Amino acid sequence: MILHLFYKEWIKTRWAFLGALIIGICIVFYIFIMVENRMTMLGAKNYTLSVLYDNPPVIYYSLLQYIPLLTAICIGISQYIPEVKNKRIRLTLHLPMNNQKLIACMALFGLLLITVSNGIIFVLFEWKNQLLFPAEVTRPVTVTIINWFIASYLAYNYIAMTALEPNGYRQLLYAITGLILLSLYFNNINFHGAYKDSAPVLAIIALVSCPLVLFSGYRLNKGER
Amino acid sequence: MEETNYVIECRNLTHYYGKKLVYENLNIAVPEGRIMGLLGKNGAGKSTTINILNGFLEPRSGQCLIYGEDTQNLSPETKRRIGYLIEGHIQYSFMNVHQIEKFYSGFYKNWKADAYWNLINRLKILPKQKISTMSCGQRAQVALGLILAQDPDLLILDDFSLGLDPGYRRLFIDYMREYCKAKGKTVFLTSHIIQDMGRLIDDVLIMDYNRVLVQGPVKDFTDKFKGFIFDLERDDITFSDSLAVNVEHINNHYEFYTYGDETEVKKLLEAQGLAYSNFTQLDMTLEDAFIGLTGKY
Repeated sequence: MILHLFYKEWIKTRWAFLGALIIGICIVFYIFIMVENRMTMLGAKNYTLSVLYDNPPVIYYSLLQYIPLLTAICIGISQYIPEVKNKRIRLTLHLPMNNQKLIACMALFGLLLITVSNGIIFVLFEWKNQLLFPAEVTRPVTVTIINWFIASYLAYNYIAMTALEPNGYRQLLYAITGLILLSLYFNNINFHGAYKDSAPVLAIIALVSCPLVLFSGYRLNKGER
Repeated sequence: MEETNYVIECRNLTHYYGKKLVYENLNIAVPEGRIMGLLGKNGAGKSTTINILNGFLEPRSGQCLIYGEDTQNLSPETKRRIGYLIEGHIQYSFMNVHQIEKFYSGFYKNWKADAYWNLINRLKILPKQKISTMSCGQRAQVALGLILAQDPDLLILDDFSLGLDPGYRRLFIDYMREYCKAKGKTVFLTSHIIQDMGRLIDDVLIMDYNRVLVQGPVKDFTDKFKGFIFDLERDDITFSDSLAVNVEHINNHYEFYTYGDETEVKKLLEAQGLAYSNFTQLDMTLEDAFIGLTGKY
């Protein structure tokens, strides 16, 4: 049954997932094409030194910042908008499964897709990064970009919770809370290794947000208005 | 004496939206193998009842049971026995005809794919056609096909006639009646289009704002409830007698709806000193009786 539920979720999300993934891959390639161009012009050693010591620093990977977030938004919207439109979610809740389990499976599927997309983009980025830069650059850069990937989970959880919430005022409240929390993950980057100290807290916030969708699902099921 | 098995039992159901009362102490009992129609005007509480029955809404007080289980906590096994048609034949419009059948088949042990495809093949649509590109009538056929394939014991149909043209509505009703009677299915449905409904339902529950007006076999209702038309000399007559269930008039032409008979109505008019002419009993369908009972407004 769960596989059949995943099948439905895949039909809804596949184009958004593939589209966001292709954009993400293109952005990674674009970032490193630009890096290679600079290295050709300035010399690899000079460019690496400028990345390490220039003030303000050269954040060559800044384009990557919103890619995981874009993926989460695309997947979240494509997954939940068709469900809440025309109250189609009632068809889903009528399926012969426990309602909370149904909602949890839907959310799990979304999180899995985001993980796959994030995984591909992250591995690709790390591979190219480590080919071109020494560990002094790649380590702090990894710490920085990981938070952007973590932010995608928080964004997805808030999209799911907001979409399934039956009350308009609460939807607004959730959306505002989500935006405030997300802003923590996208502060100005003025050094490599940004978010190093706050990373565990940001990871915990994203983790804690995972079951929130069940609360909206519960309220929806009770017919709250 | 044989004990009646009730598939649906709602006891003392009361619900409010905020401070607005929808209904109070509503009792519904649907026996096994019967087709009950919940009829009412817009806003009478039909969809509220369907939502409570499906567990999508918690009533302020009271309880609804389906196969003995509280509808607020239906087990997957009981849900599997219930076919649900959502208002306007809403389905997963992002799927095509083939995908939707594949999706649902995984949830129902006794899935009858042939029943679905037999109906779909009559539509002259391709398996890859998306549901979002279909007409309302075609969507109704897909929704009906999915229910037939599910082969549920109880069918809950929420305003199934919405958006259907007369031909499709008649087709849907005849198909449904044939299927349910042949297989002993129980049906609970709502509709605000009463036309043709007499062909489908065995029992009727008519709701008006906050109250139940009629509950029982359709035949009993249409036999007992009568309508008369007559002309009076004045156009400002009001009837306070309990015999007059609903009286409407345009100028001096009156429509008088009652559970009484012709003699009683004539006696009432004479007792009030009203001279009448063109007194005729109406030949009423279920729709006429429904409008007579609930009023045109």
